[in-house]
Amino acid sequence: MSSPGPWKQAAARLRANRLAWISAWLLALVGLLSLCAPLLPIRSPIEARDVREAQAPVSPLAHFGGPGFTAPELLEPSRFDRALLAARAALFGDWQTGAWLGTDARGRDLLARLVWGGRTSLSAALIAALTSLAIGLLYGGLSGYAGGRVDELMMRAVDALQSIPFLFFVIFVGTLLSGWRTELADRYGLDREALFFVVIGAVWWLSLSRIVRGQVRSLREGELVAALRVLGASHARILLRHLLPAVLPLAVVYLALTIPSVMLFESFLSFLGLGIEAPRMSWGSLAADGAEALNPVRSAWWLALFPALAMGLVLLALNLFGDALRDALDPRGGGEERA
Amino acid sequence: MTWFLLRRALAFTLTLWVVVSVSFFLMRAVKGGPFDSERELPPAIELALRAQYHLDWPLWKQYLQYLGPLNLDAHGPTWLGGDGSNCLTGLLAGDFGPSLRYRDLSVSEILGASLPISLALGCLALAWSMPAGLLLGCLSALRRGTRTDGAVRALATLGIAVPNFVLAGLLVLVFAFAWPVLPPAGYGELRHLVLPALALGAPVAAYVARLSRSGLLEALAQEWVRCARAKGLSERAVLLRHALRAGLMPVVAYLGPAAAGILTGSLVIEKIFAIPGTGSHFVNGALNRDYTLAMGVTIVYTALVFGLNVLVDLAQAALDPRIASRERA
Repeated sequence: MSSPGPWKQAAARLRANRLAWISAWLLALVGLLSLCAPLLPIRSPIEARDVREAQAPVSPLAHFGGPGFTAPELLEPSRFDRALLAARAALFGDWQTGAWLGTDARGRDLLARLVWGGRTSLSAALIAALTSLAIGLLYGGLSGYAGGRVDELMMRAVDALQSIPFLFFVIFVGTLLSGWRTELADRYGLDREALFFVVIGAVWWLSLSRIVRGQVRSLREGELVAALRVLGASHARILLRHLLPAVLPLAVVYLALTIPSVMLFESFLSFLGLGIEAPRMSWGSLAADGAEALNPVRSAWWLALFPALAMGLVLLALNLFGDALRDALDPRGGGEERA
Repeated sequence: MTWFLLRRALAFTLTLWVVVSVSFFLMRAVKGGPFDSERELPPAIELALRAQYHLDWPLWKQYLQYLGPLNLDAHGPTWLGGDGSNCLTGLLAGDFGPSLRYRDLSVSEILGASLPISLALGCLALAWSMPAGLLLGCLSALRRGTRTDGAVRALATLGIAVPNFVLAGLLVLVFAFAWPVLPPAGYGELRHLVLPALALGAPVAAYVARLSRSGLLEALAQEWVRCARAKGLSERAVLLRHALRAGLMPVVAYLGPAAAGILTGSLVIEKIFAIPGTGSHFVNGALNRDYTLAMGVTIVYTALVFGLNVLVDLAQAALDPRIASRERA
């Protein structure tokens, strides 16, 4: 190989962008922290204490930590989580941090809630974005590859769907499904959150399918497909092995820009009381609790500030990284930009 | 153009029909829903539901009754065997049924009272955010690479990344408590709408700034701009008459999604500022399982967004001669 491939070129361009590089590291750090939440020597996120009001943050210098940790039982740890909890017990014993970021009105530690809430927010966004990626790639690919009348019909369907304000529809369907909730959970192991994010993902693929379809269509007219046909490749093989991988860079950019909007949507729903339910938490539900605690008389400002800061920072990093990724992967330079 | 409008109208009718049908049958299938015979409803609502949908009828007939516009029961048109006293009913006659929560009101009455409030708020938000975003975007494109450009881009990214309920909280803290010039919540005068409109429009302004910046930059790099300059046009004429017109296309295309975003954002903003608009009714409806209300709002907003999208398409055709000719072809 004489010249570096497109991925390598993009990586080099990305590294030249300092802001994007910092964002990438920040995101990796946040992702790692959320993944390893049970391993960290933080307090239990759901253990309530008998306090009269929300406790203000305590500086690590004043109170660094002490014994007293109990494993959070309500959050249904998976096997992976239980292994991490065991590792934590072996490493730190029952030592836990002080209330560095303060507590809420029920005495639950905000730092721990932020870390565990990030876990929910990030995984939810990832599930929804991947669902939409899969649907968008397949739908757009099929439409572009089929061409002709099928293509026309499939794209008209996307047009029509795009004129529905989907967030209303998602909330509405979620409300309807909440009647079925226990049944779905018992029979299929789908809880409300998982359901919600699959539904979100299922409606977020529209603009991606358009982009993919355009790319696949232009590739289909080229010599590559003709050559592959002559060599005897099947349509499915051409589409799945040759055309869709060629569209992947675009899809990655799209993914990086979808995740923040899904996170924002999740926080929306949680804020309205329609998303994540107690005792679980997400950055959205924490920010909602914080917004309620903002009042001029006795303001628990830390409850609003830290969740908003966490979410704002991660969303900012995702946006910056997504923008840089698009610029890096698209040699023509950032052209079209659509919401 | 007529053909184009007709096609859009057809697509829209189909979409709405699918939405309505899926919703109706989901509503009927849900256990513990309003139509479930085992669920206990207040007698007044039970009566209203019976009058509206005739729960003892076969499902297909209830569905037809729900869609309207013809009343199929004893008071329907005479040629259908009724007495002709109440010929029209159902969705197509603009009747969304009784609200399951507010016993004395129908969904249409609630919508009629709350929709003007939400629309006023939405228009106010659009009215400040569009010009502000455009101005910032153009400024940033013209001063590309300077500190102004950097500041605008940072501001725009921030505006997209910060959730609007966080922004609303900050605005209330600053302008209602720290420096009390505006009311923190409530509805009645124009003053009450200032902070909500600011919070609601911020993400739109941010998006518009980004779109107009990249659109204008791309337009300025085109050959015909160089040509316009070469033939001696003033920089002002090049910018206003040529580059801006092409550079604004993405912004115009964004108007449809922006309207949808404003409607969605109003769910949260109306809740925070205690504004009795459609958004807060929708959220209450969803929380209280007021299915008919939630569905009515969904349908009306779908129609609203669709109408706006058609207007946007027309505006695009007016701005870009290529689109107009393509539609004609």
